[in-house]
Amino acid sequence: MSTIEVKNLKRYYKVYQKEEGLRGSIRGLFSRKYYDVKAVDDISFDLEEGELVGFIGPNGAGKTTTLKCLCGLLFPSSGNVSVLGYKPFDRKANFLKQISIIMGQKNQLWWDLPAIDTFLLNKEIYEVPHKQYQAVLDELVEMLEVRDLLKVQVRKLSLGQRMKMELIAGLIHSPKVLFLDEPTIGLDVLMQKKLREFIKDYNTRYKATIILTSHYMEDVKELCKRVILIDRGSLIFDSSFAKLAKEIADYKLISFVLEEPVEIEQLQQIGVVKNYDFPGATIAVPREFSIKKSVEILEKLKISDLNIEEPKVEDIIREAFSAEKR
Amino acid sequence: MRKYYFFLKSNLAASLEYRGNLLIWLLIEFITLTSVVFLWQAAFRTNQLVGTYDLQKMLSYYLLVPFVGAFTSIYISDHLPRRIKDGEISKDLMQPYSLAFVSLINQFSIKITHLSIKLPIYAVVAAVFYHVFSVKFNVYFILLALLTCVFSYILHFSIDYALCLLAFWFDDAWSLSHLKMLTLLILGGVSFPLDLVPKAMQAVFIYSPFRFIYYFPIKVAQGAISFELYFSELLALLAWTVGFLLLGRILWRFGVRKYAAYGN
Repeated sequence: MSTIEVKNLKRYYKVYQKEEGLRGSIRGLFSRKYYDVKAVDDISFDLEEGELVGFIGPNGAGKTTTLKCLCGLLFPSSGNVSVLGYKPFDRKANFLKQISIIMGQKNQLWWDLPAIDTFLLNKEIYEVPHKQYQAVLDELVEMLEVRDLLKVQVRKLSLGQRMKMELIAGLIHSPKVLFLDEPTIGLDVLMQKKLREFIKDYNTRYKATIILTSHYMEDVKELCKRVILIDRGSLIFDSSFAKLAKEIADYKLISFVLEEPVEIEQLQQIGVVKNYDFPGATIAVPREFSIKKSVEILEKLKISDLNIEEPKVEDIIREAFSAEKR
Repeated sequence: MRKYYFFLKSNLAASLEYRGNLLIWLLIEFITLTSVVFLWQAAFRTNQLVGTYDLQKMLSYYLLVPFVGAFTSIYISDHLPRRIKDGEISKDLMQPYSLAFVSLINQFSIKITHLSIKLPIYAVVAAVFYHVFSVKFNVYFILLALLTCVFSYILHFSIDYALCLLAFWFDDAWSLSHLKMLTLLILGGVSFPLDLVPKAMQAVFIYSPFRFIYYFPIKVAQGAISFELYFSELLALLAWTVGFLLLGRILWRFGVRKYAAYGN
C-alpha cells in the first residue's frame, strides 16, 4: 500500500456571487445567486514513503484544496483518499500524530508567548516522550540556527524567524507525512535557500513523505524529482521533473553577446528569438541541434560570448500550462 | 489529559502577559458593585418593599449576580463563530485534541485569572454590605451555591458551544452571542430577580435553561431553595446540559463536513 493514495478525488464548493455596491448588498438580503466551483475535479495519484513531490499550479488551480483533503481538513465531495492507511477526514488521533501541515505566512504559534512554550505544548499534544522531544528539538534548533530566539515572544520575531519556528513546531513530533503549502512565500532569497536545504535534509534523514506546493520554481527545481501539475482542478502531468522538461521543453537556449547589431530576421533564421536587446540575445533551438546551431552562430555572427542553457523552470511550467489550455 | 493541563498553563501564562488588562478588570468590578448600591438605595427611599424584596435582600441579590457570574460566565461565542467563519480552526482540526474541551479549558483559565482579582473585591464588598447595610450571607449556602455554579458553568458552556457551531452554516452566527447575552439579562435573572415578574411570565421562564446560569445559584446562595426543590432543579439543569452537549456533538459532526477552511 502506498503512503498516500488518491483516487478520483473531487471537491466542489457552492460560492455566493454578490453583486457590486450597496444595491447588490441589499438585493443579497432577499435573493442570492450561488455557483459551483470545481476546486478539485477527479484527480488520482499515489505517493510512496520518502517521496518529495512538487505540487504545482497557478492560483486557484486546486493545490491547497487537495492538500486540505489529504490532511483531513476538508471533506471530499467524492472519491477516496488514504494517507498512511487512514481516511484523513476521520481525523483519528493516531493519524494526526503522524502528519503535519505547514502553511507559509499562516501562524500556528501562540502569538503572545515564546516559541518554546508552543513546542512544549505540542510535545504534550502529540505525546512525544521527553527524551525524544529534547533530541528532536536540539537537532531542529541547530539546523535552523534559532537557539537565541526560543524565549522571545513570537509576535516580536521577523517573518523568516517565525517561519523557522513554525517549521520546528510542525516537526516536533517527527511526522511521517508533511504537507508544505508555500513554505517560502514572503521570505528573502537567503532564507528560502536555507529552508530548502532544511527540507531536503529532513526528507533524507527521516524518510518523510513530503508534498510541497510553491510558486517559486527554485523550490521545485532544488527539491523535487517528481512534479504533479494541476490546473483548474485537474491533473495535467504527473512524473519526474526530467521527463517534464523533455516532453515540454524539447529545446535549448543559446545566449550570446553580439559585437555589432544585426537584423532580427537574421536571428530568426537560426532559431526562435526569445530575447533580443543589443548586445544580448537569446534564441531557442531544438535540443538535438544545439551544438550545430551554436557553430552556425559562431560562423555567421560576430559574437564575444556564447552560452548554451536549459530552459528556465518557470518557462517549462508556463508552457506546460499553456499547452494544456490549448 | 496531560495535554489539556498544558493548554490551561499556556492560557494562564498568556493572560498574565498584559498587566493593564488585570487593572481594568479590577476597576470594572469595583464600579459595577458600587453603582448597584447607589441605585437600590435610591429605589428604596420611597418603598420599603419591591415585591418580596427589602433593601438587604435586593442588595444581597445584586451582589450575588456578579459573584455567581464570575463562576458561571462563558465567552466562547464572541470569538469562536468568527474563527470558524474565517477558517482559523484549521490548526485545531489538524491536531489530536478536542476543540470543545480546549475551549472549555481556555475559558476556565480566563476564569482563574478573573477570580484571582474579583474574589478579594467581593470579600471587601461583602464585609461593607454586612457592616453598613446588614446584608448577611450564610457560609453553607454560599458553598452549596459554588457547587451549583460548577454545574451551571458546564450548562452555560454547552449552550454557548452549540451556538458557536451554527457558524458552520451561518456566516453571521457571531451575532447570536449578543442574542444570548440579551436572553441571559432577561431570562437568566441578571437584570432583575425572576420571582419579581408576573406569575404568568414565571410559568414561561421555568421552561428556559437560562435561569440556571444566574438566578438558580443566586437563590441557592440566599438560602431561598428548599432541599427537595434543589435536587429536582439540579436534575433539570443536568438534563438541559446533556441535551445541549448532545446537540453540540450533532452540530459538530455535520458542521465539520461543511467546513471550507477559507483563507486558512
